Amino acid sequence: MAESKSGGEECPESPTTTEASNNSDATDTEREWAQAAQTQFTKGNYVAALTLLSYLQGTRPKDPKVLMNKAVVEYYKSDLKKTETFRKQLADICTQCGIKIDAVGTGDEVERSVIRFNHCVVLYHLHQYCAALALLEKMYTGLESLEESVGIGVCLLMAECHLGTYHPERALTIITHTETTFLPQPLPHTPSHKQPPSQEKENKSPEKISVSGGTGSSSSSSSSSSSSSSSSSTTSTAADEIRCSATQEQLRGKLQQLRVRALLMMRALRVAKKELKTIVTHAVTAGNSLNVTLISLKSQLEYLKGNFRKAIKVLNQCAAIPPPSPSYGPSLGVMYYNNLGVIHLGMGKPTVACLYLQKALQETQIGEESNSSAHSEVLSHQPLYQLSSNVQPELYYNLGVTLLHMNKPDKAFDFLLEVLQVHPMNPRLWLRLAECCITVHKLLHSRQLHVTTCDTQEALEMGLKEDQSSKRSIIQGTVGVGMHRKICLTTRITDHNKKKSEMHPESDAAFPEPTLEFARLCLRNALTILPENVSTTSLTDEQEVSGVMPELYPAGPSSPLRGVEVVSLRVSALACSAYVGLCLSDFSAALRHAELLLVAHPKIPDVYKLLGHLYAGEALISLGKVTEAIQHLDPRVVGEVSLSPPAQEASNTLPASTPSQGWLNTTATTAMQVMRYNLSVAYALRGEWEKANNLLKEVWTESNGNMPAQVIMLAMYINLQMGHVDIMKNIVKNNILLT
Amino acid sequence: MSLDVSNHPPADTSSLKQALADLLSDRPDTAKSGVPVVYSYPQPAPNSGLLSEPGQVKRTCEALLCGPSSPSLAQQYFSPEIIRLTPPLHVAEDELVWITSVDRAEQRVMYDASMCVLSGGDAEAKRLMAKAFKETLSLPQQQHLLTQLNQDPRMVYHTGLTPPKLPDLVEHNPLIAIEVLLKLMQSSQITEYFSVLVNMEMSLHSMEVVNRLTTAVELPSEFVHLYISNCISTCETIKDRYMQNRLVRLVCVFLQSLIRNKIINVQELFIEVQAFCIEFSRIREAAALFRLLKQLDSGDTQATQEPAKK
Repeated sequence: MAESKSGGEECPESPTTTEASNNSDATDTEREWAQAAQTQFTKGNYVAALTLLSYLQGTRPKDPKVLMNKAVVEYYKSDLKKTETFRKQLADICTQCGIKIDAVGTGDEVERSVIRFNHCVVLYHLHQYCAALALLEKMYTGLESLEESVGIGVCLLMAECHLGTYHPERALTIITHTETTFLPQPLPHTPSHKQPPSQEKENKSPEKISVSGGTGSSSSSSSSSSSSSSSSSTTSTAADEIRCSATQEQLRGKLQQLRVRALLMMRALRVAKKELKTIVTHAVTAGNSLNVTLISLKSQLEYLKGNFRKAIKVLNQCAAIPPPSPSYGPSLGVMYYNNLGVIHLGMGKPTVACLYLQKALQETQIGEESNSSAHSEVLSHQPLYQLSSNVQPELYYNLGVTLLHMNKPDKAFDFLLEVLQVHPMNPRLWLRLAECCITVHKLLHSRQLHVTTCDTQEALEMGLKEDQSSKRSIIQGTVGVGMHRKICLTTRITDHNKKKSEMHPESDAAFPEPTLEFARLCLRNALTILPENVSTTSLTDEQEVSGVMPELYPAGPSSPLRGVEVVSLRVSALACSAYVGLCLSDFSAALRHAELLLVAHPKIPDVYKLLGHLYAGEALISLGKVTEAIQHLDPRVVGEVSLSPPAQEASNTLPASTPSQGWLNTTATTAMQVMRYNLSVAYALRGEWEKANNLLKEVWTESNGNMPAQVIMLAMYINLQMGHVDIMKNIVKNNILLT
Repeated sequence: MSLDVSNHPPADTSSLKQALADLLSDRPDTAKSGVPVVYSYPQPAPNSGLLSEPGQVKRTCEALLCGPSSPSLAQQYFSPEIIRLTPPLHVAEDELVWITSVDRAEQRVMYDASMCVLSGGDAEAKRLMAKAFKETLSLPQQQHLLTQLNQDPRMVYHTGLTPPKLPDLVEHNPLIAIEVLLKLMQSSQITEYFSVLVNMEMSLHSMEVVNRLTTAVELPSEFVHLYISNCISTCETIKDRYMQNRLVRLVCVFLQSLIRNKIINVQELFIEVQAFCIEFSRIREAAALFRLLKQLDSGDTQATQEPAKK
């Protein structure tokens, strides 16, 4: 790469070698031009380099290397903006010289490696990781034959691409292999041990460099290259050694950083912490301040450990460091605000999180406005590194999820739908889309009816707050006056089920809307994509340290899922499917999903166990199988429930992105009341009035007179059926305060 | 309204009821569960209002039967309602995407430095070296590779040789391995190569390489000691009797040469080597080595000179 070039500029090949090798292809003048062109290029004098390359092209019109270098220099001259042109040039060179750019053959790989590598670099920056990987994979197998700088480039690029495709375990394999191949020793876990030899070399280096530099300058002043032959072989090896160790240190740093990124993606926090500490101490001992990447990684580690305050503190260090060079991407503002948003959602503050995320989005737009251009011409006007730093899907995903938690499903749906274009194979994204649809449906119906009894949260909280309006909704009104006054009860308190009239049988797949039908489609996709038979055993710390790879399942743009998460995702998706099935009056599908939910895993969270039985019971009742439904609704089936959020059980360290669920321990009894109420309904439907009435009385007394309207309705219903019209009227009198 | 029904005999509705019961028996419970919504609920303090009694009756009937709602109130019914909880939002760990700003310029478009200047020698050497890991090179090939390596002192860093590959090179091309290692002596990687060499499976070739190295350069004594320990333990553990004899002979000759050339200080390894000689005293070379040790032990200076003269 560039640093290797810049180091050995003066004598890239000693003249004796080139003469001895008897390269008939290149004449002496051509070699001089080539050397000068390279020098000009590394100095950044692209115009001068281009002139020299034009001479070369005149004498060697079919040399692919000359053509490619010319294209490279032109590309750099355009500030890496004319990506499209560069790609076209590369393709042209390949066709001219009979190279197949997208198929690595068995031919002379070394000669073609750089052109192929450049093709891959562009693919990487354009986020076409898979295409780049396919090519790199083949170059990687022949790594030994490649020029060292190209080989290192291939390895680093591959590791980046694997991270880009959310395969941190593959990236780690590459990183380890790169270390063993290109670095003499394993990572210096004890810097003190490693320090002395490198320092020794650094002490040696100044004089050696000055010697070789002196010869270099003298040779250029005397304008004859022969003088460099005088440099003795011993000095040149030493200089080479020094250069090697300097580039090796640089490579080591890059690899360490990549490794931390991969480890954090895998949430192997212990190892990541150790590794990060090594880098930080290394940077501190060298007297450097942390760069923006390291600060971000450090903050991410704290975030993943659940130390949100500390994460913010670390992140704020960004303000104290000098602004990163423009080649860093995404911009500092985007990174800072996004990560603050992420942390705040972890802290259970979706509104604040949303503000920060929107700010991050604004920051990206600031960057884009500076060179406003039509979308089609992006490849000719935006610098490559800026294209590479595009994080719009990530920001959209973060915003979508945050908005969903803020109970703004419509907006969330729009954002998540955009992400779907890029990450269609993410099962969690499909689930989130379905959740948006469900929430839209829920809000729609609660608005229409002015009652929100059937929201999980509110139904459970109903015991706590007196909702007069919901009780008023029990009666539609009165008719007549005096002796002839009649009361008219309502037909339903809530109506989840979609009416036939508002069904959208042909919801357009091209223009999805947040409907229950679309939710059903989303959930079907999610369940199809989710891998079967995942291992849910989590690794112990020792295994983690010894480098055992957990099985990971990609869920871009988020970090990949582990086995446990796949199971919990399946459980959630099944619960939603059952719910959507019930709402769409697709009772047999609802029943099937509810039953699958109950057997999804031996240890499903109690919340979902309860929901599974409730849904199965309801589906069975609707299918006319009340006897079977009663088995599901028996409170003894569920047993003792603790309704703490599943994430809290899973781990105490990792942040759960869902802040408040309303599933507090205090409402566990209320949830069981819902179950008993539904059981009472089942008995009532079977005509077992006494049983139903007794059960309902329990619920009634336990709720201390503050119960959902449905309970009152059922009490009235049972009493009517039992012929106790007086009691029914009393209920009306006492609860609805009708005079 | 004014029709008097009291004079008519009551109609027999039992068959009608029977038919209804038959019809309902096929229906599911949910379909049979509806009850009317309208119930009499007289006001406690009657407020007769403006209308007369029949007028009120009429008005009430009208409101119930043909009110604004559809279906009319009299036709509406209600049945017990199941409370359906909405599933909670999925709880996920580490779901939001953390963004880390990295130096994009690390993956940069590369300038091909080998343009025009690549003589082909580099590639040729690399190709030969790759071959040398897999098979024994022919004599001209070996010569070619060695000249290439000699011509450019930096070449050895670019041949693709890494410590893990050293054992292959040693097994297939010990001569090249020796040359390469000698060239790598100045490199910071050399300790890594030594440790690989010391720990590789013992063989004639590896011994040859170590022997040549010991004569050519000063090796750190701990490496040599480690190698000897490795050799001895290999001899002791090997099952094949024939191979064992061969290896023991080799080790003995190797040790003798090391001792004579004063590469190792025999006192540091005395007990280990002595035990080895006694264990394999049936082998002639071991006995000879044992004698050498004894001589060294008895009269230090004199003994070392004597075998050197032989």
